[in-house]
Amino acid sequence: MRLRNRPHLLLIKVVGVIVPRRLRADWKQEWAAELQTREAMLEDWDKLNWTTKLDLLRRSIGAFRDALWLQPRRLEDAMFQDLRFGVRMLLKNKSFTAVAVISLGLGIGANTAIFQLLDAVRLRALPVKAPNELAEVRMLNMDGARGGFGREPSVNNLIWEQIRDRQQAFSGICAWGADSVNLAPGGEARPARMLYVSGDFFNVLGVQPALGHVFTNTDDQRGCGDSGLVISHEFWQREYGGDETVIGRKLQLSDHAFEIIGVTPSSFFGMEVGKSFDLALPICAVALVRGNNNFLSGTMWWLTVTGRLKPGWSLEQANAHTLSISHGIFEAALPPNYPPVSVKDYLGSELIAVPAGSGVSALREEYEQPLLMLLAIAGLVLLIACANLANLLLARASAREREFAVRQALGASGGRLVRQLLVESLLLAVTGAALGAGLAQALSQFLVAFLSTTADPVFLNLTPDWRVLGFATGLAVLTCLLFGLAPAIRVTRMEPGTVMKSGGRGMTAGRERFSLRRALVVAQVALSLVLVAGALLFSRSLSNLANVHTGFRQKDSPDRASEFPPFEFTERALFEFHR
Amino acid sequence: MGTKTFLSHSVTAILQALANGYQYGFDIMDITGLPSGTVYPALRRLEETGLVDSEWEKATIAQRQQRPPRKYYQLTADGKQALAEAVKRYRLASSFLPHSATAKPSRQRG
Repeated sequence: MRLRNRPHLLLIKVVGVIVPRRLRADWKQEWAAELQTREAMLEDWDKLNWTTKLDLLRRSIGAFRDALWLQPRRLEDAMFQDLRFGVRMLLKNKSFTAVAVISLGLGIGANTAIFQLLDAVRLRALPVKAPNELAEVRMLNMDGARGGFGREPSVNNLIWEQIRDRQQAFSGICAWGADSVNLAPGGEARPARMLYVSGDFFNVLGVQPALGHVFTNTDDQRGCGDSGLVISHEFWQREYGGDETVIGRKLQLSDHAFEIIGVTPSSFFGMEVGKSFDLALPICAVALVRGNNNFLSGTMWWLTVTGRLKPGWSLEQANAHTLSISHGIFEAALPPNYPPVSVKDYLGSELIAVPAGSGVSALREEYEQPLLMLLAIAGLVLLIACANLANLLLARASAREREFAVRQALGASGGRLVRQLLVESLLLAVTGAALGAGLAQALSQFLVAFLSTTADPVFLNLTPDWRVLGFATGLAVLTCLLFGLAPAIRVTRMEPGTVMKSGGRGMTAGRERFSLRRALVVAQVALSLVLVAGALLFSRSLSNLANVHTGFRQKDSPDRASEFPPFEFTERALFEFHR
Repeated sequence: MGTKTFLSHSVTAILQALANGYQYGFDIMDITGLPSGTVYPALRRLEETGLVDSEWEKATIAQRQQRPPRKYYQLTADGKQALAEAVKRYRLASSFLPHSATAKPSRQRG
């Protein structure tokens, strides 16, 4: 039959490949017979017009759906026989399976946990609208900056106001600064994390309130009074039990009561990865809470400026633009009484635009390198686990030599045996990966808790995303190949006759078969030695750090934060207290 | 068996086509207007639930026409009952089912 001229018959042949093997011949025959009958009924193929030819082709395309529908029948195919047999073999040798799964689970779990942290601080985009359009406008260097510093790099309020008024590159631009505030009227302090935001902040980020409304530009004007307070979803749940009548209630901060006007959605944790916030106020309200104007004058460096690029503007263009307007901005934003020695540096400062889609993070700068190193170490641990398993599987394959020899003698191909062994390895790897993924959740949460303190809580979104799941799956496949391939290849080189003749004592064969296992053991010991030495050094440093002599007796000393509202104490009393 | 399962419009149409004597997949497509990607999976499902069974035509006929033997489908007793119930349920059935007037004379299938 000339398939070349009969695209519909060719298609049946191609689609037939995915039909379960058991049904394939019948399936192909049925479709081919129908198409050929139709063709014969019509006329000679060469004389058919295009519409009829296309109709035949269209009908043959339906065969694809038919073939897909037959896929569940694959369960009866050879591959699933392998799978069932593999499960039986693994269950038969429970202690081997348990050791393999647990060691793999630990290896994959440690790797996934660290990857998950890296993902959370480094790779994840902010939970805001189109995060890739966001850019941060920051100082190229902080050489000319004098005063108090919130976080670095940052700008002061005067610079922010000039950027807002002069920039052309962003369709919307906003600024934010973090601070902490005491919720308790007196006695033991109850710190809350405060976010001061410019009026356009929520609008620029595209964050819609879960309840009530958020600030607008009119709320953030110099000298503003109470223009409302926005609370985070977490704070709303924690302090108000998710009560919907919270809007309109007052919250006392310092000596000023602010009215709650809105609640942010649960996904929004602010702009800083690793931190979340409780309360948000317009930047102008910092004067009310702090009781002075220091944060609004140019002496405090505490604001981060984030803008959304105008459509059609690239980051490079925005960068060139901010550089070009820098000079004018610093001229106009020079605070009065600025230390004269620093004025020249201040005026010579420059602003640049950098990508901000994944937010800013002190954690990232601090922990990215250590996390990468930890990932490398955990990778080594996994490698050792793989070498160990490969060795175990090789030993097991030697013990099962007769089984394979019998199967080969009965006509099983080498490929079939390799597949059987690889399926068993894959089963182990998948079970190990599932265990590891569960373990990773607990491990990464433990690591975050380890970094967190009451005064400086770390908040990281650790829900697994496609990257983490992809990583765990990739590890499973990789480990499966690493430890499953060696025993599988060995089986194909086996002579069934020799093995049968040796009467089941396959272990007496030449020294060559042990060379691979010996090499694996050597590699394992070498790698383990490196890791053990490293681990000892690390734990020694950690215990030294934990036992640093601080100059006072740490044992039995309570950690307590108190704040004394100024109007309750005379200066004399405070002096006496601190003496 | 199978009579309690809910039959969709397209499956009812296929059963009716079979009842009218259209026994090959492509003939059923012609008369019902359904695409091949619907008709074949439906036939396989019907065969699985026992409403339809299938047989290969005799090799001699196929050889004479120089093509592989075709597979033909027919209603089982259960299938006939299911069709009767489905037709009752779809009151507008006559508007989309192949009419009995279009019934095909039984084909030679050896």
